[in-house]
Amino acid sequence: MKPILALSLLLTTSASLAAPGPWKGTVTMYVQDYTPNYPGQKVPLKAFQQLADAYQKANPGIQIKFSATPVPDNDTMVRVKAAAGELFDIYWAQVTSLNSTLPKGVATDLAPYFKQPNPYIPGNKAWQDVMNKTVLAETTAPGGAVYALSGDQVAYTVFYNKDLFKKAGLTKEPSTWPELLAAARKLKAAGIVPMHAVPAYPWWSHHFMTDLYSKDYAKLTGYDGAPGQSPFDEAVAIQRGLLTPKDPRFLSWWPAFKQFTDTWPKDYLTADPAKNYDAFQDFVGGKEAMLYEGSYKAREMKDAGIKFPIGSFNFPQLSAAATPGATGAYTGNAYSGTGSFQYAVSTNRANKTMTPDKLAAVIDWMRYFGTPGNLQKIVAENGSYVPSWPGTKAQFAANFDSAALKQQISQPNRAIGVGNASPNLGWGDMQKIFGLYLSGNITLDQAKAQAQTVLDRAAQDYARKNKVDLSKVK
Amino acid sequence: MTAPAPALPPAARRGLLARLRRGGLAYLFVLPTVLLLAWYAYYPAYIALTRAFTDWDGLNTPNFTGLENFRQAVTDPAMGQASLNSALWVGLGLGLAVIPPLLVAELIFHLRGPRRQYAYRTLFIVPIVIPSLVLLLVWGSFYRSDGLINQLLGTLHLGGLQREWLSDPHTALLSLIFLGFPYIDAFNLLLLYAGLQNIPGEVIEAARLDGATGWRRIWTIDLPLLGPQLRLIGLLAIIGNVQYFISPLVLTGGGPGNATTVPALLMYQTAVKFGQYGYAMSIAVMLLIVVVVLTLLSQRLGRLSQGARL
Amino acid sequence: MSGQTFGRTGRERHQAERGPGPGLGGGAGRTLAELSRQAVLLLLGLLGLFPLYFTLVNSLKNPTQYAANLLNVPLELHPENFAVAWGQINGPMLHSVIITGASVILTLVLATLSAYAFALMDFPGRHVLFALIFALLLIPDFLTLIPLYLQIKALPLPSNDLDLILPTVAAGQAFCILVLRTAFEALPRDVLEAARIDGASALQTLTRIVVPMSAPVLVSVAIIRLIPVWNDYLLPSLVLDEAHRTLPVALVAFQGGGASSSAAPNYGALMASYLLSAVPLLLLFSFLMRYYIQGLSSGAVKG
Repeated sequence: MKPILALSLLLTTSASLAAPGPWKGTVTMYVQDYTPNYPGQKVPLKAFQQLADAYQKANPGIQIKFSATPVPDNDTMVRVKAAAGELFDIYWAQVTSLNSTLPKGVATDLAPYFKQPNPYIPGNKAWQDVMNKTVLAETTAPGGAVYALSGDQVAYTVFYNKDLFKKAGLTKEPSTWPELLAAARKLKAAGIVPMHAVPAYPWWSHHFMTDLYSKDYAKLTGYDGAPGQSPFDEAVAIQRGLLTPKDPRFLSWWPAFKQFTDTWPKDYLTADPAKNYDAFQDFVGGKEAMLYEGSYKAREMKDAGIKFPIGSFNFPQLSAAATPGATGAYTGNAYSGTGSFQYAVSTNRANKTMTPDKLAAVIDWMRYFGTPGNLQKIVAENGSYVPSWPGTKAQFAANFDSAALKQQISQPNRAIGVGNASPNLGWGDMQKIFGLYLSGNITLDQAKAQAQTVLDRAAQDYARKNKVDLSKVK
Repeated sequence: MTAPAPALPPAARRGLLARLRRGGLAYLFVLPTVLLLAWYAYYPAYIALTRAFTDWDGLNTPNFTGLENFRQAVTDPAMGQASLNSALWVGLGLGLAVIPPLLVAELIFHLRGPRRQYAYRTLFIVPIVIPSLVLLLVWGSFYRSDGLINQLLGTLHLGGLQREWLSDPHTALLSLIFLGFPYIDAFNLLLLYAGLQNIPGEVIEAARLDGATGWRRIWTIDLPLLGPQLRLIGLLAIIGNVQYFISPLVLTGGGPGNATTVPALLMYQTAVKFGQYGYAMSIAVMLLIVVVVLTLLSQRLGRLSQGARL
Repeated sequence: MSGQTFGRTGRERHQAERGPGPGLGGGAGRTLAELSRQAVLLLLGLLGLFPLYFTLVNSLKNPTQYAANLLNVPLELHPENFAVAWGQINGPMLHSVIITGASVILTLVLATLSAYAFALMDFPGRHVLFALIFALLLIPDFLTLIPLYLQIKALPLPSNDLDLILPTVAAGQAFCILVLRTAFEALPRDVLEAARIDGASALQTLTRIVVPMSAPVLVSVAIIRLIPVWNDYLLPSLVLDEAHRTLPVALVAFQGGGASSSAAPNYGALMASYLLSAVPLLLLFSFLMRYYIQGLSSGAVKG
């Protein structure tokens, strides 16, 4: 009798929880790349609409409406619509923007809901139990709030043009740094451009620094007591002189990396990483052999109708022999980007219709689509991203050899870098110094001095904005 | 009131009445514009400008921070170089806005017959139907290390002049300023051409009898008589170039380093990328002051030079 | 009305002479000068047309052809880009025509009235008011975007189109008034004086003398204002609902490939859509330019 009673009790509590409440009306949503039935798409997506249909059927009186209006600039859209109190009920935004550059008060703190059970997941005690703990910790804002439900990631890898590799006589994918360098030189000697892109500092530095700092992983991620490296962890490490040029590991890899970029044309070396949007064209046009990019590019390559066979290999392993101080730790997945399943909920200020009753309904719908099974459905249909929750599996657009991507997402994820302590640190300030050094416009010593300045400013910036005294952190 | 109304001589009273009546009508003419601007331009501008002294983020109630934003902007390490870049841009941009369209306007104006003039004028106006982003796309490809410019230099055996145009800090800024050869701004061309057409025939006849032809005519007759048009073009060029940031944004992101950064780009980035609208507004206020000073200066210079010539 | 009192202008002289212009030499030298002038103009004009060539050749390429070479004429043509582009823009195009047309005409009407008052009428506060309008040119529009949007939302209008048209008209006022005031001030005073003596009201002077005499400038201003209004996308994307979408908004959707993804556009189809969306502009130009020419040669100036 007891188990049955317990089960029925569980069911009734679930049933009472699993309800949108008294509110009736339309929930508006902007779900970015997962927008169903987006006009003009060759194969329109269906998954989100199917989930919405099922939910509407179960809850008469509630409508889910997906916005298909193009958004030229998401942060601007969020700011403007929020200022007028008419932001979407649920909307896509980068967690980094929500935590730093978007105004406070555009998104509801979801942390309390993550601690409650999700009634649509059988036996669930706290919704966050089914989520990725590292991602959750890394996306937590400095005060402990979580502004987005994050379910997917972009995996980064080196795509390559198999025809061009063959032409240069390369038969094996490089698996160590010296092999990669040798391959690049061989390509160049054969008159083929090895790589032609903006060497994005956040990308490459994560691979090198995760290896070089691997012994300090626990320390560098532990200042805030949560898994993963948060902007807080970063700011403390900068203040301690660990993630600055004062630590020999910080810039020791730059000369090694410059040997690689010396084989590239110089056009993009000093450019803004946004230019990689253009640089991609060189790969499509068969004008470069390799492309370091995110998994979402696979779908674009398919859409562009690339004829040559595409392979992929992960960032190679480092060794102390070739890169002083290297530990040989696995860093193939050290950089991953945030994906398209990152959904925030409007506050009452950002959306005037968001009454407590409506919020209850919106959260209920979010719980409905925010289960591992549904996440898997939504992400897999699109084929560009990696669902990040335990038990979910990635599926990629089937136009290239995705073994490398599958290999890297099967590995435990450890990542160390610097760039998020202030909004412009990695992609702006450090990027400029990196570019000037790689293009030969400044020396390593000049780079060290400049990097120290911008890092110090970033840490101070963080301390001032979040009113913390970094020197008092244990 | 020094003079009570009844004491006014009748003529003056009529003048005042007429002035008032005419003034009344003028207000009526200006009224629709003023109403529209009050709602859609002045109020938003007032909100934005007054928030230069706050920490406004675009959404929440701003806190007054005094001159903090201005202090931060002036001490921004990128601001010094950005200002110099902008000064060069405004100076050279002024020349590019005036000289090429003026030369082309003169050439067209001296063609024989209105049909021919019409045809050539059309030729120079048609390109504006293509969005300006295409121009940036085109020139971005020209400036590539394997682009058209370096290819041409190679063919002409001038390989020594080949550069990484946009990624070399020494050439990046000038490459952006001189982007868009032959620099014929359609509007400036039309304005100058219309100005040439309005020069009275007798003046031209008289000049011809005096033997003022070709360059001398341009210098002694056309330039002084095109004064209003040239001042207008100059003014719009200064305003436009102080606020311009599209080609650095699209092509170089302000780099290499800060080689192509201009204050307007910093302002755009602080507002749109980092959401610091109060801070961005403080840069806008400073640029506004610069433009006002430049405007007054150029008006004065224009008047001086005109006075000297006539 | 008697306008014969003022001197012949360059445009009349051209009309009268038709023959040799104010040349730089005589006889064969003139022809040579004319030829060289044409050669220079032709060269510069064709260089200026390069973006058009670029758009045209790339509109016929598929993505891999585009990525391989930006400047060549493709061996294998892909005219289907135009069909793809047309499918994206045929609805929004009509809408763009309505919104742009209404905005530009209203801009010109209001700016003409104001510029006339500033240039040719005397009223207390004239200089202050003009300085205030001029000052609007100095404020970058992306900084006022948020308060402007709040103002748009605060004023209930009968049509979603008007939500965009009115702010667009407001945004064009400063520039147009500045240019038109300069033009109106340059008009020969004796003609205006003659009209006044003939008993013409201010409105009559405006419609019968000032506007016809300023036709070239008005057309120039219209053309120049037309382009940014036609291409504007940020404000329309925020203000207009899906049923009222304009061309650039549709193009942004088209470029993105997804709702707002960072995907590279199908450049070939994008270029094709640029060309298609230029067609209404070209038609309008040819119409306006004819009017421009008529304004020049109709002798309206003689009253």
